[in-house]
Amino acid sequence: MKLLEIYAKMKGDINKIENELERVVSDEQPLLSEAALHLLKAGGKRIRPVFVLLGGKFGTYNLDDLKKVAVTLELIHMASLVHDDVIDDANTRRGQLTVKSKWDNRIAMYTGDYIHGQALTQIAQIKNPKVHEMLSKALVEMCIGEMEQIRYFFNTDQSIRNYLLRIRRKTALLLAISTQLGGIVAGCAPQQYNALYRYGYNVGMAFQIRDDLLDLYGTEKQIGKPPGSDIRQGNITLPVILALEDAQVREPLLAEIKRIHDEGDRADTSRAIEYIRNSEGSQLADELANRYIEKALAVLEHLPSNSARKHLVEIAHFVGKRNY
Amino acid sequence: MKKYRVADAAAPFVQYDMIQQHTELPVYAEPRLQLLFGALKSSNYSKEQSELYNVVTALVQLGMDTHDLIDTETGQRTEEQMRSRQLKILAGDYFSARFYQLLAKAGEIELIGLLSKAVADVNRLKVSLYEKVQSATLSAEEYLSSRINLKSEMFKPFQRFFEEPLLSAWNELLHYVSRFEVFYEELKDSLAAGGYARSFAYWSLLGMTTTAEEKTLIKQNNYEHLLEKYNIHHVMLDKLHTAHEAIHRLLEHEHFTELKHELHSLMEEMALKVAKYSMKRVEAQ
Repeated sequence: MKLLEIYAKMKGDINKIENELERVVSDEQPLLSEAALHLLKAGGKRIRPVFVLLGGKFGTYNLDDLKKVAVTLELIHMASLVHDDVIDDANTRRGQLTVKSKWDNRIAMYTGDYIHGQALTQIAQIKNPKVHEMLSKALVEMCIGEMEQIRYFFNTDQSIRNYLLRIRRKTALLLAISTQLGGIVAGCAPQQYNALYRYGYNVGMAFQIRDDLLDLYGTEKQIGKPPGSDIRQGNITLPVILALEDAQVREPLLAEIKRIHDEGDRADTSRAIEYIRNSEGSQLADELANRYIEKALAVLEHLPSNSARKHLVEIAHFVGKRNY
Repeated sequence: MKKYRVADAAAPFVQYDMIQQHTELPVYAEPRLQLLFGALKSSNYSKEQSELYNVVTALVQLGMDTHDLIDTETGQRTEEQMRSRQLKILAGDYFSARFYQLLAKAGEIELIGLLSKAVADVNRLKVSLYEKVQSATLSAEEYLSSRINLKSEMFKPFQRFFEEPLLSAWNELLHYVSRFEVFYEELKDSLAAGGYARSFAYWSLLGMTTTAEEKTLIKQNNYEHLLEKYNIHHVMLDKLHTAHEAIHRLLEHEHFTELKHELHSLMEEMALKVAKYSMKRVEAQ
């Protein structure tokens, strides 16, 4: 089954979440409403809401509760993207102008804070303390992950462990708690919602590694932003760390990274990308992403065999092969 | 016994070396936080509860105030300028996450909802004010009331935590403390070089000046003599004084003996601030 078929099967509930997302960020203040809806309308895979719904299928599926969790997680993700675009000084996302670019940094900050406020207003309607304990912890970790990413900008001596810890915080945790919170609000037993967490976590790790590879292999049209953005910004990702371990390219790649650092925003990254592509780095990163997918699939063995589990298997395969 | 200070209580939740290394944070909303703490304590909330509510409000307000410092420059930035901007954004997000985590740990889910709704409300007000400032379609009074609302919004949800007569007086007390803070900041900024650009002084002058030449001077931020001509500092000082008097009057209520006691140092600090600017005014004359 293809990813689109999974979405088609869940279409009714996904549409309800989509409508709710639109309702929650539509505001009486016209400019705020337009800015908040701008990113929402640009689309996105809605992977977090899908994970919440699928997690909920392992317990008592109550769409009203699951919808609140799904909307919250997507809004938290959206708010962080609006702020990330100011952090990265990015002009485009998903092929569209960013909020900061269409308006300005100040409007982007207010819009992000507004969406975040609306997100937590939604989740506060869920009274289960466990949900808040897990979500708030993940949010703190996400912020720490972003700060750590900046700490290691242009640091070519960092370890793979360091990178993995960073993407765990930055990406994997929010995906992990998406499946987990779906299970928790559906009343799953701890053994089940912990398995759902581990599934989301491993898929999240693979997702970010693939995302970092796409930045080196994708076209602007495919990835919605200029390729090589990570390295231009100083974000040393796994393929780069691994390429730097390849004696054949280490020295010229280090020199290229230094040049990119010195030249700043407009630096050409094509030669650096070529070095990385010619090293073993990309292949090794790809292999590691696959290992995470295998782990995610193995975790699913601990969950009852149902249609949701089949969908989670398909999604894991999709993330493993993702090339757009 | 050591006196409670919000900066000490919040310190464990705001400290992260990257933040301290790369950027400066705004000051805490001290007068409003002192008002909240005093009101909670005088309403028989435990010290722990009063501190928790105060710290989480301090964190979420600090987060938004930190985001207010983000510049709108689009040109080339140095690496250090970029880091400072980036860390301000992440610091604000981090404080907000910490606010949520503290309340989640304490099981205060209702307050998470109330304060999060207030965050959305504050940002709605900010966008409206920002839009009007950008298009210069604002009167001095509108500017003033927007700024006061922005300061008080995060503290309004606590009204339901109080019983009469504080329940009825809370919004008014909050209004005057916020008003005091706004005028104190406006006075401070108007005396700093270039600080009056797009301030209460600016909007007041724009509404008062009569000649085209004067209006041009205001737009060029070259209008110090106009502040004197139209007596703007005197108006601002008068408003600062009136706000202080109003708080004093409200606290005279027979049931506010304990609240008045709790707010003693806040009132003293305010009196000192009024005296400081009154002296400056006398010296200037």
